[in-house]
Amino acid sequence: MTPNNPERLHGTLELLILKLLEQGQMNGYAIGRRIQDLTNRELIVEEGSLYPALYRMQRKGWLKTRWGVSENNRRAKFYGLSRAGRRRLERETADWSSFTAAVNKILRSA
Amino acid sequence: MSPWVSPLWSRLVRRLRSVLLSRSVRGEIERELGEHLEQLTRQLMEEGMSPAQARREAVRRFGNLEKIRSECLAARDVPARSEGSVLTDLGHDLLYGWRMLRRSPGFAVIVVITLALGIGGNAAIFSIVDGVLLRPLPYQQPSRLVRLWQADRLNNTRFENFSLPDYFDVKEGNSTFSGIAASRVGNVTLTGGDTEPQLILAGFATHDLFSVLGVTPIRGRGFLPEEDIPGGESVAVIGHEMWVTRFGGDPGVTDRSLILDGESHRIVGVMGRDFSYLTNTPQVWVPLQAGPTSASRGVHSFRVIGRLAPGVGLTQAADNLSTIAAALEKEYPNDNLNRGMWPQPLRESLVGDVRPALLVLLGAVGLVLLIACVNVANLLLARGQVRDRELAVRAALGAGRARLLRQLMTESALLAGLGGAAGVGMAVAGLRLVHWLGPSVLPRQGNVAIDSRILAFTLVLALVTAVLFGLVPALRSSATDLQQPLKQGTRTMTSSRGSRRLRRSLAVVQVALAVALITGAGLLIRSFWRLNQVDMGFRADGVLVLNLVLPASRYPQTRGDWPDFPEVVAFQRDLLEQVRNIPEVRAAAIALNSPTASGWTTRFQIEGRPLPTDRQLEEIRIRTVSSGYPETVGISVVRGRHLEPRDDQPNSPPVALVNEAFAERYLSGEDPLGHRVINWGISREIVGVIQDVRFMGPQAPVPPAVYPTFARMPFGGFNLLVRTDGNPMEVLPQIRTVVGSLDGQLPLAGVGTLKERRSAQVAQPRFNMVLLSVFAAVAMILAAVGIYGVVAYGVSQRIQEMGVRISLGATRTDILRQVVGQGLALGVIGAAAGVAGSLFLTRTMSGLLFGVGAMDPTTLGTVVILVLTVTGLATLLPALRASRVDPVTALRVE
Repeated sequence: MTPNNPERLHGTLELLILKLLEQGQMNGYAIGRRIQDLTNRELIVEEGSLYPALYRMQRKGWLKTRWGVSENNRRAKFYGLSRAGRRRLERETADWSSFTAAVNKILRSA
Repeated sequence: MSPWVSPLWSRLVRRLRSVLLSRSVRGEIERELGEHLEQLTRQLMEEGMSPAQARREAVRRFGNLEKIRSECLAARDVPARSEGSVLTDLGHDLLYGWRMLRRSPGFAVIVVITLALGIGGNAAIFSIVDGVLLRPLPYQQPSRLVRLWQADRLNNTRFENFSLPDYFDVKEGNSTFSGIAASRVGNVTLTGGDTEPQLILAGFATHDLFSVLGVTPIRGRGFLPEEDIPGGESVAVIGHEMWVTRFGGDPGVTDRSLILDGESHRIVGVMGRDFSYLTNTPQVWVPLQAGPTSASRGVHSFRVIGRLAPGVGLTQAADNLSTIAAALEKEYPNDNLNRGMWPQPLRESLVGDVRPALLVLLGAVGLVLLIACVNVANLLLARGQVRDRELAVRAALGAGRARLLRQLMTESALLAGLGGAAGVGMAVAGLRLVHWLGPSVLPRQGNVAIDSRILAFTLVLALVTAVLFGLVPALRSSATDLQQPLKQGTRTMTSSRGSRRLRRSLAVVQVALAVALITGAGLLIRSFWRLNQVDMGFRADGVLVLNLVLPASRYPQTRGDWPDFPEVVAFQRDLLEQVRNIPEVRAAAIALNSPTASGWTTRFQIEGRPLPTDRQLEEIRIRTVSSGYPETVGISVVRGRHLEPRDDQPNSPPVALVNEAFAERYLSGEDPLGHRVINWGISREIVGVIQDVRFMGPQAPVPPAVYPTFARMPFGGFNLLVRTDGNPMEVLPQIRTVVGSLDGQLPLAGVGTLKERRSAQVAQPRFNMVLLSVFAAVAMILAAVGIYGVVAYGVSQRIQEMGVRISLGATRTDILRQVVGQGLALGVIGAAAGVAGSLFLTRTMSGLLFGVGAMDPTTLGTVVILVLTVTGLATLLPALRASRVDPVTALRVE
């Protein structure tokens, strides 16, 4: 992500990760790849941001991890949502919607 | 393949793992990132790259692996906000801090050593201050005890001892003391058992000494009144050390006895280990066995202490004593005219002299600690910027400022703790140096040691130090704009202007403090040098000194027979004759006092002189000598003749020498020869005037003194002085033989050279000087390190700027000049501040100086030059490095 505003992207990245993992477990590589694909290469998450974010969220208890086997038949770490994570996702999604709605109101009014 | 587990459990497990098994966490991260790399490579290969290309591209895209690794590690280390009690947090912080230190061992070592110097020095000095000044005296209610002094108004001295009749009169007539006791000390020969005869210090005390002090022997008892009368039973109370070394701690020691000066004394008690009395504690006590008529009122050799009665204040007692003194003056004008009496709190009399010096040392070592703290704070500030990234991550994880502060302060406490531990080691070594400087330089020196009180003090000091040096950097680090470092790819090496200014001002403060200290040390060094330069009047090289005490049991010295002590005089004559026969001996003499001892005073008269009434009772120094004294100690006779061996004969006419001060004071304008001096009932003819000798020490004026001959004023205890050409100790065996042949039971004591004794005279100033110089040297080193640190860091920050300047044409010397100039500027400001400060501070030291003013310009000038030179050298290294910067490497953008 080429950030113009680090704070916003911090929380935004976490939101995206949470959303992606809602649908199933993935390993780090897969998450990054998915964001890239889903946004048509508009958003590219660099590993330097992704992994620290994943570890942070692990810390905060929003993600749970297990070691499994990847597509390449290698040991890989898979991330999934915890119950706290799901709650967080709901809250963040709601916050995001109201935030963008408010901003749009102003942008459109001019 | 572990199944899904509940978040709480996995959180705990994770935390445990991260704390205890960081290696496995690293491994985990390695594996995960490695897998990601694999998958990325595969993807790139699918897009058409060759395997090698794909791999390279994948690695490039990944960016800085180490950075990611460390961020993940940092993310793992901080527990979620809701967890953790204070104690587990503390343990966690300590562990984390320890790990951080291990990662930068160089930094840790420098900090710990710096702190050790500061804390250790303080511990050492505090243990001295505690042992000497603070710790209560080993008596009951010591604040009620006073030392009684007499004051000689004519000679303007205030610290004279009592005579025995005066003591008894005060004891009888006072209304303000609950008890008064007198004592004196003397050397006695201890014989018996299977050991050689020994000369030991004995205390002769009135029976109530122990009860006035409020101490009880740990075994047996003190003296009974009936033992303290003339002709009473010979008993003794021994000191703790003698009980242990000579009697092996025998519990039945009270059935045994001791032979002192040939007389057997029954042991009735043993004193406790902590018991000490005045400056030289005797090894054994015997009753004084004296009454009011046992000694003359004119001989002032007794130390008197008293205990104030309950409810009585010091001024009341002083008034009471003045009244008694006035009455005695009227009643005994011959002895007591112009003699006052006054009380001094006992503690004051013991330590009052050294208090100023010790306080100066305490202040100095406090300054050193301050400098050390400033140094460490600077180092922490520099390091803080390196850790900004890690702290930023933790802040982003929700660690509040307070939490970060706590972590950083814990690390500071850890550093201070390590520094304190190392400091204790240094303090122990330091105290050993102190004891080596002189076993009795300080009063109560036996109390000076590292014990639990000092350790507790050190612990508190370490904590205070941690706050001092840790707070500012911690506040700064926890408050930086923490989002900044998380930006991609930025090497956040910008040191803000504010922090740079802070570090530079700290360095300036260090230099200022160091200047103040070095100035103080410099003044003391000059004082000491001046002291040593003082011409004492005699030549100390090559002279051997020793004490002999002839016991009254074999050499009768009864008061009634004086001055007829034929055995004493015969021994001394034979001794001199045989010692003079030793080939290496150039000259030998006997003297009551060596030229380094102050001796005592007694009243005198000049015959035929109608003395004005106020001069009738003047006292002068009496320093009995044998023939050969002036030659032996290397002084000249300026008028008249020397004493000759014929004057050593017991029936020779009584004669005496006088010193120049005497001739000046009492016989100026006349020829002193032929006048007669009367003391103790004997009239002596002055046959010669000798050169003044500074026997009162290098700083005091020389008082008038009379030197009667030994033969007509004998004493059982005396010094033998022997002058040789080479090393005087080489004749010692032969002297032992001579003494042994005259009397096999006579021990030699106090053997040494006159040079050693001369040196011991200045032991106290030497002590002050050495200690303060050590502190000043440490301060200088620390300040130099501080300047070096600031300049080196500044250079490393501005490598790029240097590169630009060089590529634009600046020469090496330009760069050198710039960097050194900046460093010197700091030094100059610091030196100026230091000089201003020291002008103010050294005034507190003026009591310790000799021959040097507190604002001595030579010293100040030398110190400033020294400090600037050192500062310049300290900046030279980083300056050289800066000037050698290769512009190409410097300008390469990372």
